Amino acid sequence: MTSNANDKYSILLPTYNEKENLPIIVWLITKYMDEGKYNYEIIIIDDGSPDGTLDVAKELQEIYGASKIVLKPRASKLGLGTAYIHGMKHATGNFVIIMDADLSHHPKFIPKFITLQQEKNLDIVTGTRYSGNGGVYGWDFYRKLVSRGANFLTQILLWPGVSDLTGSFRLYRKDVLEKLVSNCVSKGYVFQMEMVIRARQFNYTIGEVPISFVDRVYGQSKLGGSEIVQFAKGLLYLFATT
Amino acid sequence: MTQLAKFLSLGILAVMVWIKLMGITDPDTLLYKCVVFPLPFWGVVVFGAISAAIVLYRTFTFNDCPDAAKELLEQIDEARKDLRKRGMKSL
Repeated sequence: MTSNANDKYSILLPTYNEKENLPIIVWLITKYMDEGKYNYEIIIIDDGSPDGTLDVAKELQEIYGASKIVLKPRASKLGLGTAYIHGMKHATGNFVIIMDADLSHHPKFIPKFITLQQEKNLDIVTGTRYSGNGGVYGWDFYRKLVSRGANFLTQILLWPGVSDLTGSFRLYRKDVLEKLVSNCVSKGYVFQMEMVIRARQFNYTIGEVPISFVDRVYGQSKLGGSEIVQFAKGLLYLFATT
Repeated sequence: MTQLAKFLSLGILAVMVWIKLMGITDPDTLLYKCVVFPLPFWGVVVFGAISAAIVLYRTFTFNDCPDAAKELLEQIDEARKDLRKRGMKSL
């Protein structure tokens, strides 16, 4: 066990038009982190959402206090990779948790990530939809087939040693995340794949926790031709360069 | 070594084994005509069939997690009530 009272978890929440979901996700995070008596902060990185997500975030800050809720907004939509860099610069924890703010990632899994990290002294813990009790709610047959097919192809071509590469619910040691982000060039969810592949190259230890992924309760989730093309390009790029 | 290089090495190795097999098999036999010569074709067919079976099996056994969705919807209600009580106006 390497558990120690000095551990602090910085939870990064990049948001864009998440006015509905933000209060709920923050409420759930505080519920589970307080129950586990963890030391933590939630860093909200809003990319100039036109729906007023930032105003909602300010209200939450008044309720929970500025030490729990940290606001680091940016003027416009600049992408996920730079949101992590931006959030990390202000993170005061020695661990960073990244997750989506759209409620597809349930905060009840965070204590499980932390427990596994402590048990095995890992560098990274990633949520997986593809093994154990993991799964997805709200996907039809076509969506599941594409997801399983893409995942199978990735396993065959990249031998990643991790069952879910495109998921973005993860816990990192802060220095590990800093090193990975500065070495990754991809955008979108190929970025999530590249993070895992680079982690393997640097011999970081990775653990997996099965998660149930509940696809957007509010708002739209899409899987179109352009996503598939983007994925294929990213996969080939990683296949040829790593 | 990149993944691409690993695959190329494995591919070259497989081709060398195939050429060797063709060299040591009598070309007039059924074994040669039906198995050894079309071995790359059979390789692709078997690999494709196994892959399709695995992907389909995993698609049909993909967990649906209805309980997780139900729990979340209940918690959304609970969160809203609690946050309103604590003075959140925009809810």
